[in-house]
Amino acid sequence: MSEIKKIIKGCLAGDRRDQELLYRRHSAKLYAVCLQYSGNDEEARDILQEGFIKIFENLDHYKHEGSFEGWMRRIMVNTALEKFRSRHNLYRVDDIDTITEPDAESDNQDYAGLEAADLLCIIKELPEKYRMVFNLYAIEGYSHKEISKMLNISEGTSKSDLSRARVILQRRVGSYIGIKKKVANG
Amino acid sequence: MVDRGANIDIVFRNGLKDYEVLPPTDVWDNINPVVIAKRKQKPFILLKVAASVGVLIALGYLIYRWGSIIPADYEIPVVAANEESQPSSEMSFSFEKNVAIKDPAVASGESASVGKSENILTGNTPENSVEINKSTTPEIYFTPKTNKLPLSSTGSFAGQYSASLSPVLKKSFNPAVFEKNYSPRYSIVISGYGAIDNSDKWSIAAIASPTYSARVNYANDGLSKQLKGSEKPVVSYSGGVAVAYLVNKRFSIQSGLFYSSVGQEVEGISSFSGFRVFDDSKGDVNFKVLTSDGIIYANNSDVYLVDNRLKDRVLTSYTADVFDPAKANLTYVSNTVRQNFSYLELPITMRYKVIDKKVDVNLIGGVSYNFLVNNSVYTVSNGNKYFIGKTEGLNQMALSSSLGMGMEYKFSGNLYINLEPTFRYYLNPFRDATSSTIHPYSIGIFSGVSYRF
Repeated sequence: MSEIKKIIKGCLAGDRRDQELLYRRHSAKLYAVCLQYSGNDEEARDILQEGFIKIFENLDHYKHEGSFEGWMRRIMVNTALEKFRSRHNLYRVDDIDTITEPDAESDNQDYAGLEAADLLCIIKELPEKYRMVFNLYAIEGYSHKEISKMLNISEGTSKSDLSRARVILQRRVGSYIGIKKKVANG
Repeated sequence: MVDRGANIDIVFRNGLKDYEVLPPTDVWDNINPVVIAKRKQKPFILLKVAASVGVLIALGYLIYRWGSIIPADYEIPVVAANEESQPSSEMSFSFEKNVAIKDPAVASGESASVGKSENILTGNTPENSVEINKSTTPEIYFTPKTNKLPLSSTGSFAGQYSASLSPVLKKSFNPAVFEKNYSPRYSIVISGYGAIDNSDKWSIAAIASPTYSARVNYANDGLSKQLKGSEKPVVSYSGGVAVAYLVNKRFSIQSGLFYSSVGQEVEGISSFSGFRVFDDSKGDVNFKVLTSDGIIYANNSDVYLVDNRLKDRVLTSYTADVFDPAKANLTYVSNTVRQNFSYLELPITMRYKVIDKKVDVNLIGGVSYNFLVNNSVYTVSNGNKYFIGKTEGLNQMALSSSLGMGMEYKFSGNLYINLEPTFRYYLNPFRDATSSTIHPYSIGIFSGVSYRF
């Protein structure tokens, strides 16, 4: 039996040590996910906390099919979405006429030298709804149809928001790389 | 989906894939108590349900009892002596209805002479009334205003009664017989339940029983099924002292203090002694064993445990591939471990007598609060107990319900022999894990002696 299965068994049996072990092993990765979906550290902290409580409460529903880490990640993402939805109950269905396609030239720029911490900083600066759509589409791999249901928006809005997010990210990445180069060149 | 692989998407997807950030240290401190609190909520919900059921039963009983009391205007043909002409100075007791005192002697002696005249014995005050029922049943009914039957400070009960009788009734009135039979401390008839001897309202009993304890496990996941297959019910013991109060001839309420133990035997876990010299864990528990009752922590650092049956119930870093107890020359102790949980029990039990013969038969039902006082895991070798550790995560308090049938035989004076086959079911899960669905039950045949006073 794999070690993670033993830990899950222990958690299911109410073993506090195994619960803490599970948390210690996975909290860093899941906290990075929370930071990716939230605008600030405080909110990310809340998502992590609520998400882990859900994980412990629903551990008996995990069927050992597929990745356990993926299962926990989905819980964190869903928790982040719940928080987002609670703040945007009357989310506006945007007009899709103003979709701005990303600049093909800028999308071919050299991204070398960008570290994960830089990417996280950039993504956190996105407007909240763009950040949500970009994360769900580009990182998690959901379709616009799925995203439209998750965020209670139209598919067109999802596409529009993704497009705007990419434009903003490309610009910010570009300026970020420029600054880094300047710093490196003295 | 044409842009699914857009360059910027790939940069972020790959860049953040394995990124880790240590969360603030206090997050776990906030998660831990919430998880524990949620785990404990379930039993409390069950306790509330059980308490509600208890209140409903009690209310139902009270309604039933009130409903069967003879109403104030209950009409029975009454032939009584009118006492208006009698001296009233000694009529100091006050009666109305609800409690009746039978007086067959007076009734049988005077029924013919009194005839059909409607006479009522009364004192000077309107509330004082003593009625003699002659026409249909030879009984006298005293009906007190309150539940107490006050004796006058001016004389004996019989004396007061005699003073209030008409001259015709006085002729046959025997104060000694009356005092013995009808003074309030003797026989009281409450609304058709029959007489209770006031001197036998309480009883104290000492009873004990071997109990066969097992558990109902509602979980159907693979782990639970595996664990169940290797666990065996065991016989343990229960006993204590019970005090009962007879509300009426048939109904009594009982409480007391009992000590009971339940447990189970886990098969296929081999234990060895002599491991202490190989223990380099510096105080940590080396072996944990998964059971349906909770996780056993082997606090005894001298013990080595290995799972011979399911292979994955023992959680340890000293697995068979890194440590061989035979090569290490450890001493084999046993192939089973036994979990034992002892409780101090406070029962609240109701008993209803369904057969009132030489051998009384009672229906018994109630609830008990069980407080965990001992939790141990051990194995037995050549009659000696070898301590292993204890089971973690058990509820410190459990609520159980019981149902049984009690037989009672009077063998001498106020002494009775009792025999009570009883089934007990634990209403809240045995352990406090959120996913726990294990409810123990036990069957016992309690026997003992009771004394009424």
